[in-house]
Order: sequence, then C-alpha cells, then structure tokens
Amino acid sequence: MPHKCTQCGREFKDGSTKILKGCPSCGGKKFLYVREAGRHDDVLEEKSIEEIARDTGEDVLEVREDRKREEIEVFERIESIRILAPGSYELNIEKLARSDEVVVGLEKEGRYMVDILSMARKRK
Amino acid sequence: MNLLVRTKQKISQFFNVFFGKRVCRIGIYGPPNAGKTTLANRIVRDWTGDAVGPVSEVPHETRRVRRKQDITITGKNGSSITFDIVDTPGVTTKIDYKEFIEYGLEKEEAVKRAREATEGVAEAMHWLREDIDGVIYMLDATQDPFQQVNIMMVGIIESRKLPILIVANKNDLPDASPARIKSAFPQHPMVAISSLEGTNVDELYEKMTAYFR
Repeated sequence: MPHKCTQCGREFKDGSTKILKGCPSCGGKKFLYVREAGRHDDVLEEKSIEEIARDTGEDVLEVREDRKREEIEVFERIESIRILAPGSYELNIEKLARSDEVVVGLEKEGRYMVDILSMARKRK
Repeated sequence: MNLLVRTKQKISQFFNVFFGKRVCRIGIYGPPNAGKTTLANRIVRDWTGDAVGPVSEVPHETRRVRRKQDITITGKNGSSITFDIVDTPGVTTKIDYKEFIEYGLEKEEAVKRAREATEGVAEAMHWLREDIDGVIYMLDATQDPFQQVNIMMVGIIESRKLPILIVANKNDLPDASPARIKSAFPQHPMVAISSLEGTNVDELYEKMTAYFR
C-alpha cells in the first residue's frame, strides 16, 4: 500500500524513504497513505489526492525539513576573529581575552585561518 | 631476545617511577595527510603490537592528539630508548570545509570536521609548547616541502631547541623525491621511508635510538 503525493499524485512504494525529503517530482511535502482497494480512486473518480484526503478524512503525512542547526553562539566559537565580508568583522572578545592564540574564521562556519606562530608562543 | 627487551623495559620503568624521571616524549608533526598516524601505528605495532588511531585519505583524519606510552625500541647495536609517541593532528594554516566535500562528505559533516581540525591544530601546538622533547617532522615526499607552514614549524621547533628528525614519507610512490626534502632542511638528519609499506623503517629506528637520547 503506497503513499501518494497530494500535490501531483505521484505514487511511492510502501516504506519508500524518498518522500522524507519531499516529492522528487513537484517538491510537495504532503503525502496520503492510500489503501490497496482505493489505490486508483484518484484516477477513477477524477479527484485530486487532496480532495480524496478531505473526503475520507484520512490523515495526511507531512514531511518537514529538518530545522537548520542554530548558529553557534559567538562565545562558543573557536575563532577569535571572524571576517564576514571584506571590512566586516566579528570579534570574539572572550577568546581574545583568554589567550593569544589567533584563529580567523572566514565568512560562515567551516573555513579557518590559523596563526601558527601565535600558538607557538609560551604564555607569559 | 624478546624477554630480554621486556625485562629491560620493566626495569627502566621501575627506575623511572622510582627516580621520577620522565620518559622522553616524541611528537610526530607535519602537514595533514603526510602519513603521521600511519607511521605512529607502525611504530606502535612493531614494538608493542597495539595501534594508535584510524587513517584515511581524507585530510585531518586525526583531530585529537593521541599518545602511546612507554615504547622501547632497540637498534642493531643494542642501544635502546624508551619514549612516549605523540601522534598529532596535521598542522596547517588554512582549513576549508569545501576541501572535505570534494572527498564526498556531507556539508554539515565537513563543517564539523573543519572545526575539529582547527581545534586539533591548537592542541598539537599546545603539546609542542609544553610536553614534547623531540620531534619527528613528517613530510609527503611527493609534495613541495618549501611551504610556509613547514618552514615556520621547523623554525618553531628549532627555537625550542628540540631535536628534529625529518622523515620523507610516501617513497613507495613514483614521484616521491626525498632529495628535495633533504635540500629543504639540510641542517637536520633525514630518513626516507614508506610508512604504509614499511620500507626503510629500520633505518628510522636506528636514527631514533641514536638521535633522541
């Protein structure tokens, strides 16, 4: 017994993981679980899946995108300075106060410049 | 022979504890993907039968410093040293998650790897500052050794007055050039090996027993 996309009617095999990321054809996020007996109802009765869902009162499965991971707070970052764009900086005051080690973050997360020399100095 | 070595090891451990003598700590340093962990695994496997950590072709596989204690290696002439081997994350000045995506990592995983790799560099440098008595500086012999980070690191280690043994790795590859590595750091002893295939590691052990004492 398959799921059907409420937007375009595309059918997915039972247990298909494809639908978890939305319908690959139309990007729809809602899917109706159709019984084998009523599998072709949408075509035979010339209704959309959405209408069938409304008529039968069946629950529609809605897949949501994973919520984007929250930006890491400044004080939890590993870089002392982040260059957001040329001329635009964010300073991690806490890290700057704590150590002389300089790590520069570039734009968003995941790109770093490491000042090796600053890390080689013995602490006073 | 093995029993003799082990007995010797036990006795030296006993004396170390008794007189509070610290075992020499040898750090394996070098840029990412030079083969540091592969060498650390080989040393540890050859002399204790253990392993240090996983290796991978994706750079920055080692993102935490790993230490294996009390390894005793014996040279041909019978002289031996006991040391802790410290395998460190690759030291580099630029870390970009996009590099890991090219190896097929998902974006989120790549960003995480970049962050951990950056922390790993800081940790490696912290060990160098505080806890290392000798350095094996490992270079990929197929790569250009005249990179800023190598010159800088060797300079830093020299300024700490630590003995450096340069290891030109990956000599099993056709375009390896240990001569180029030697010409970059003529002031330090060098051994050309393949830590993957184990070529010439005996010479490395000889040099280690002679050099780190």
